[in-house]
Amino acid sequence: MDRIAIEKAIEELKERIGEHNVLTSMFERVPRAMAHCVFPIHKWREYIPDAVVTPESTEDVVEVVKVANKYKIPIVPRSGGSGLSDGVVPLKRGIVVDLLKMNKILEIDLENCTATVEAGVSLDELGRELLKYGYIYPDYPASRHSAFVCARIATNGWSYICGRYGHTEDLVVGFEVVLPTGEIVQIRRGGGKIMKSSTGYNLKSLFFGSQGTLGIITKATVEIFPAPEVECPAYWGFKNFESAYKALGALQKSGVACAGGWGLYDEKRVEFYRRDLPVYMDLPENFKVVVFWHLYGNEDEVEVARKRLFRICENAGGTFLGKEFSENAWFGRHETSVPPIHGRKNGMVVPMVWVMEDPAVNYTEIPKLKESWHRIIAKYGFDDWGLLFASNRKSKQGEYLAGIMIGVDETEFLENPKRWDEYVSCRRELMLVALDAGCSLSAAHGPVEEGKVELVKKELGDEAFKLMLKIKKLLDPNNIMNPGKFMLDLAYGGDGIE
Amino acid sequence: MEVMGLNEVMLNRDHVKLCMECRCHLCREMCTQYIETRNSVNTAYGTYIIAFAYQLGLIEPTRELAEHFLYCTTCGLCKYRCTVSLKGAFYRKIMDVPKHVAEIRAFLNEKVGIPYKAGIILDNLRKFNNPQGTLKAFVNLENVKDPLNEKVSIIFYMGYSAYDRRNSKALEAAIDILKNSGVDFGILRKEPNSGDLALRLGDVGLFEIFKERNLEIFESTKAERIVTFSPHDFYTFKNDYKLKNVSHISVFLKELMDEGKIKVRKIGYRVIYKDPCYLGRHSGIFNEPRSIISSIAELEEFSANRYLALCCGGGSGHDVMGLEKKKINRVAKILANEAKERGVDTIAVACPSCTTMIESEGMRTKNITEIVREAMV
Repeated sequence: MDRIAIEKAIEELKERIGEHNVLTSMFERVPRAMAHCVFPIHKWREYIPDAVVTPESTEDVVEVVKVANKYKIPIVPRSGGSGLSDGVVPLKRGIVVDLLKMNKILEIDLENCTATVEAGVSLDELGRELLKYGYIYPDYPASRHSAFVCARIATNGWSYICGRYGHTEDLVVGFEVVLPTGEIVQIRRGGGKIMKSSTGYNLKSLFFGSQGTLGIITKATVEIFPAPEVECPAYWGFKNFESAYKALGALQKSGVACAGGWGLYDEKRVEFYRRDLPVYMDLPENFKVVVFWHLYGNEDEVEVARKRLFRICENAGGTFLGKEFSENAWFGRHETSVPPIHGRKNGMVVPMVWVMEDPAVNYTEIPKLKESWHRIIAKYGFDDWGLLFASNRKSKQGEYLAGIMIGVDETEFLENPKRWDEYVSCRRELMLVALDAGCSLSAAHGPVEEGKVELVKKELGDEAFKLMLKIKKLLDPNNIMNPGKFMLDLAYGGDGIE
Repeated sequence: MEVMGLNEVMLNRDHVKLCMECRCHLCREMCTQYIETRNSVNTAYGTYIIAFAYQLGLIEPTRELAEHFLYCTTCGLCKYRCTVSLKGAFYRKIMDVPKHVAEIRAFLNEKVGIPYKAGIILDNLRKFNNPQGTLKAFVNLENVKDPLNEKVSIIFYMGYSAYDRRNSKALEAAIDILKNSGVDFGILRKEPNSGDLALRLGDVGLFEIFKERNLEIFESTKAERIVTFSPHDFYTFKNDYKLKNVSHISVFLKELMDEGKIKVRKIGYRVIYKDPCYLGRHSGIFNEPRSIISSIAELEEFSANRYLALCCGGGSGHDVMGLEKKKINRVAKILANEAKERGVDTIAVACPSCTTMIESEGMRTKNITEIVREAMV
């Protein structure tokens, strides 16, 4: 990229949004090159952004977008940086727009059950504020304590308790977005607090999962709920996979409306939990597989539903692991999903990155896929941390998020860059198997990493992908918004691969 | 403390690798400096990722970097939010962020020189024995013994609060209590600084000078015990001087109350207690101040308390160097707002830095010594 153009752009940005909001020191830029996802640290230098800007208002964001357009410099929006895909990695460098300074909670409307926040408000911050009034915003990803409300729109986030409340796309009422050409657009229906409406195109959906390629979301209005009276998790031990799998099938047909969701940890996952910390999952030895479900609601409805789900699990041959166990395991779901200390290599403890590939699968495909995935991970010699299958929809159909957990030692890439390529092939192979079984590449994080991104076209089909390219080019004529993602560069004649 | 270069604080040491391979960002949410600056690099995660990138040659040590590392107040809340630390005490020991920040500061001071703001503090410490650069202590020491002239069993160590108008009032309250309870105590007229700030700001040499001077004096006075006013000095004496017979004033007052040397009456008001980082989280003293307060007033708790208590934002010299330029002190504001929402108009503190920071936001604070003196019968 043109070094002079960047220097000029930085100078102009300093004039427009204030010198203190334009950061050019190396130590500010380097950490913003990566996300939570496994990162090729041997290629770190290639992804270091040229500058970081920290806008304080939507107007500042507009200024940044205008300058970027003027000098044709890529911009990459970023807030939490806790995404499990490469959404915030500046593949073509450029300017990172760090939205954390826009941290105002603009309105909490308890009568119409909505809250309006700026882009730098985290789920935790909003949650703490709502709790004062006895309300919750029921968007619970594994990264609940580090994810941000507006960024969840761009990744089309997945929530643990989707069965009762839905995912981010079911919870967001409307939002404000700065388009790649600098216009501010309010994506809303009615006065901004109407969720279901048939007026015009459903533009909202366009931005869900856009990974910042279509604009920067600066404000969002979300639906809030009165905090449930009861939160009732239950964990069940099963002696073999078959009976647990049957229990899962029965749960999805139970028709219980207050179920937050259910899921299954397979044999490898349970083995992983047993590695060195019985405090987390102190399971009796004879259980090989764990099934869990959780109920959210009023005391009376949960009481009835609980009995029904207990019957289902008991009939399938499960053993209830106890109230205390269940509550601990459920409470620790956010913290324990990121355990770098459990990695093993040749019998040695090695800190590893937690990688979670996240295809969406249908119920009937689970047993077959499980075998193939474990085989592929073993073939490439990565540390297999097991599989999680968790219910994926608000309506109770047989659809699951398959969490393929793998431990990867990133520092290994430094000595042996080939290992990174091996990981990419491993990921690609896992995904190809999934696609053949009718799965989707990503239920939660967005398929923008190497190894997955090439398959987006295969999943969507040629015509649908072409439509995506057309939309991208229409909204972003200069290809400045997060270029390199989803191979959208093809719309501009680029090769689409970084 | 051993000075360690970033090279050693780095790659081959467990904590950096653990943090790098985890990247959970859980430390961010409650980090004082993140709340102040809304910059995610000013967190424990940022510290470790910078250390890692340095090792890979991506980041050069610069003056700007040294200034950046002044942000941390070494409150240590991140240690109790860290995913790795959650796995148990063993990992909490590895992820000792405050210690690592001090080490990195020491390293950068050596490489690129001491940053301007820290330089002022360290200069003041060297010349005036206090970080504020004040010539004379504000505390009235009439009728108080000097341990260097008379033998006393307890040295009451004032620390740099004596050079601060607001905190010297709390100090005088403490002296009053000690006098009235008939304790055989004395206060050094020329008290060397504990060196706490010098150590946290990475000037290990200066710290060693102070340490030597203090130990010499303590030994020559043959006092049995040292009672400190500031939790920071308490922590430094206990952990960096390795002194055994040292306690914080709140613990000492509690003992006196238990022995019946101090008698207090109930005063009908409500206060909310804020745990000082260096007394609570770093030293594990939570109950003594609480039991003193609850025997006098009605005690309320912040929603984040004990190990997870918020920092006031005054650690690492921020109470001295920050206030002039900083327009808002967001953390103190959060604390003040929460207290107001609960209908409490006084925050009870046990640390002079908390007093300075929270009062700068217009909230009334009372040091635990002031509360006790008010209620003494």
